[in-house]
Amino acid sequence: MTTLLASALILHVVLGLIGLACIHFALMQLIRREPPYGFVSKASFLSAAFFLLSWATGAYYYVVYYGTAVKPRILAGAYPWAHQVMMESKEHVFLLVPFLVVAVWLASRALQNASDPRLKVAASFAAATALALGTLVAAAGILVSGGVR
Amino acid sequence: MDSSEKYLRFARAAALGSIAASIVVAVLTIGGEEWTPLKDALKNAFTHHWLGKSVVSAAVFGVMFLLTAWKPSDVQKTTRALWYAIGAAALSAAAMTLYFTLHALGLV
Repeated sequence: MTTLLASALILHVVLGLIGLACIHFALMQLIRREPPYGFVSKASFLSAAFFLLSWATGAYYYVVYYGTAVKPRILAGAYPWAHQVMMESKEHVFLLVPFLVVAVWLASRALQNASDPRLKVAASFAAATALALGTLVAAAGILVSGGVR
Repeated sequence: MDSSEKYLRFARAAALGSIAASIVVAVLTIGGEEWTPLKDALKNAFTHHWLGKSVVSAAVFGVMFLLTAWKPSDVQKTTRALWYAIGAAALSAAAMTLYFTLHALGLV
């Protein structure tokens, strides 16, 4: 693997984890009785930005290297399900997360201007859903890495 | 313009875009596996089927956002759209994971 590809893979993982941390911070503040919506808005915006960057770097690694060099090794190994189930699910579920986080960001901007308990609960659940899906995607990534060894 | 109403509109538009993207990703993914010409079309147009799904889902989100961001909204409409977006994302993720699990087991 070239240095550029290795960097893309590392950036994909690190940027994705920072995105997860940001939406986690946003959720932890959203569930408070009186959330600091300015903080929630910034954290969810940063989360969306980091997920988009993770998407771009992951795309480069996945399209250029994974399909030709990694996928055949996993399928020929002892854990083909690491690709067949984990990677296939992960790469597609990932596509859902950034859009949901953008909705959380804009909802938190609306809440910043006029707080409402119904919108706060819905925004909290949207953040929790994005966090849960993102965490499952990250866990699937760990299993895919294990499957190649 | 009331900035609260503006962000309620934008948040609703983003939630509707998220719903549309969730549906499109699931349809393209499961449909592409079951009907090879669809997967091939994505591959031919974007060099890789996953890039195709990425571009199409982002485009669908953007178009839905632009089409609905100017429509008046309130807390009730935005809240409802967010709940539907949560449901769509969860169902889409569950459907794709279940499909690939059944596919790996040779059941579909």
